[in-house]
Amino acid sequence: MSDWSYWAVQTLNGLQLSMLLFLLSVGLTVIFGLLHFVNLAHGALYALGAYIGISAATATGSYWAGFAAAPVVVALTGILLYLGLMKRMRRAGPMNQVLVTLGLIFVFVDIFRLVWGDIAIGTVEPALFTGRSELFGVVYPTYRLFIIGLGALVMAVLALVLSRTQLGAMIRAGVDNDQMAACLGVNVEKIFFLVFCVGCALAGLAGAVAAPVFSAHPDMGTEILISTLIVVVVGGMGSLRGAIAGSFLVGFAQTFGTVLLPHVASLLIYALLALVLVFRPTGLFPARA
Amino acid sequence: MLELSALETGYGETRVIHGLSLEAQAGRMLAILGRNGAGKTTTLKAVMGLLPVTSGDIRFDGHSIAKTKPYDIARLGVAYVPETRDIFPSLTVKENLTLAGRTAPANAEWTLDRVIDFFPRLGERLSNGGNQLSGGEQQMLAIGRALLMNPRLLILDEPTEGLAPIIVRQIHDKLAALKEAGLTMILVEQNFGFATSLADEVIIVGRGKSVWTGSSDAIRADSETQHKWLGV
Ligand SMILES: Nc1ncnc2c1ncn2[C@@H]1O[C@H](COP(=O)(O)OP(=O)(O)O)[C@@H](O)[C@H]1O
Ligand SMILES: [Mg+2]
Repeated sequence: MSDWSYWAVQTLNGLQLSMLLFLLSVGLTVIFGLLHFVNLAHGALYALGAYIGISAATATGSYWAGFAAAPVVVALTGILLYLGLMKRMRRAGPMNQVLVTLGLIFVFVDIFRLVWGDIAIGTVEPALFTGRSELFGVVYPTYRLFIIGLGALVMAVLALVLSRTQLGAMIRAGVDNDQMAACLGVNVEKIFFLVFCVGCALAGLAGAVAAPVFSAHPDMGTEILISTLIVVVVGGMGSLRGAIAGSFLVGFAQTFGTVLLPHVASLLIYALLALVLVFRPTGLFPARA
Repeated sequence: MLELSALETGYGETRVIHGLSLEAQAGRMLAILGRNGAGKTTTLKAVMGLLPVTSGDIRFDGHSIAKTKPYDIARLGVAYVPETRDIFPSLTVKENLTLAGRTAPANAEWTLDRVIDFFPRLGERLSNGGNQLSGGEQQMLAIGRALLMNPRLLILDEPTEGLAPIIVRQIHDKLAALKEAGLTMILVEQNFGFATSLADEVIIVGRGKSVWTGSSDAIRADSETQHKWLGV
């Protein structure tokens, strides 16, 4: 492998990780920014998405069944959590929310163990995207290119909806000042709930998409949660731009850190976090300036 | 149209309003005056449903709205121009306006075009961000936004605060035009001359209670009350 194509492959790896982190962190950051809710169970929803994706794919023999089922089932689970638990804890303060959603992580991990077992389970890629493709002379797994494309598509759709539509304006107004938005007849609660559902669905989608690459295991949600939280804090809470910028920074820091500085790679994202917090305590692109 | 009876409200444990009663009549303008910290803004926030009513009642068109949420109060036809203006910085001027006008029926009195006619200055700034406006433009936007709600009651909290005299005169003329058109308004003001030249009725609030009510003419002639409760 030539030097050039080696770095090109690492860049694509970095892009792929960034896109997965984006799908996860965008939900987490808007839930922080809009609902002022600290949902540590968001990573568990990602793992649930992976398991549902695998089970649905196994049952039907089609990857796409899992791809479609995971966001729906995870969003429904999110709705149950919201109505049963989080809605009541909206004003309970961040410490209580952290404790309750931390507890939820343990509950989820045990459920994963009970239902799907301790051992990591994999699944197949969709027939459409198996094998390798050549892109500018670089050979790369087609399925991973699909992940990159999907992430870019979701990014573009969200950016368009947020910046160009009436719904997007209502969401931005709600993040800016929820009380004033309500005084202008915006049903802020309803919009927040909708955004929460979309955030959960995207976490589920990320899980289903990641399953063929990383395989599913009970702790996968907890493992990615740290990176996702760093994305949210680095990018700035509540903003789409922040989630995009944070995902790329963390995704590339992790990928290139492993390659260039293998001994300190695991510390690199914490260094990034510390650096941003020192110079921009509210993150790079906070929703509220 | 709006009636407060023995209203008590405040922030958390701190009670700020102790049994305030007042009435705003349809087609008229009521000015609420009083020193800084008297509880005027707090009263308006309770009307909008932003603060809990701990005792007493707030009635709009005879129905209690003491437990109604801000979103539903807005839908009933009460529009609010807050003291802090609260323009959305992430929205353009146009988005700030259309957000308020989005539920208006096709034959609504106030449309985007009509608000721009009313405040031509906003028309020149439509694509600007909400955080790129001068104080006067922000106030025009806050009022224009409220008008796009096509309200039956318009509530304004210190619309002249911090504005240059020439802008204050412009706002004065606009509010006079709205009054002429028959819009019901509640105006909180520190600017005594501004308020009494516009309002029909005046209520003075001191330490969370009503301490004087009467007409604009009556308060203008009563220098003792002015001195005691307004420090004019
Ligand atoms: N957010 C708040 N929390 C606690 N007390 C407040 C708050 N805002 C105002 N107050 C208090 O309530 C009283 C009335 O304030 P306010 O209604 O803003 O007065 P006004 O609008 O008449 O100047 C003041 O004593 C003020 O200190
Ligand atoms: Mg005030």
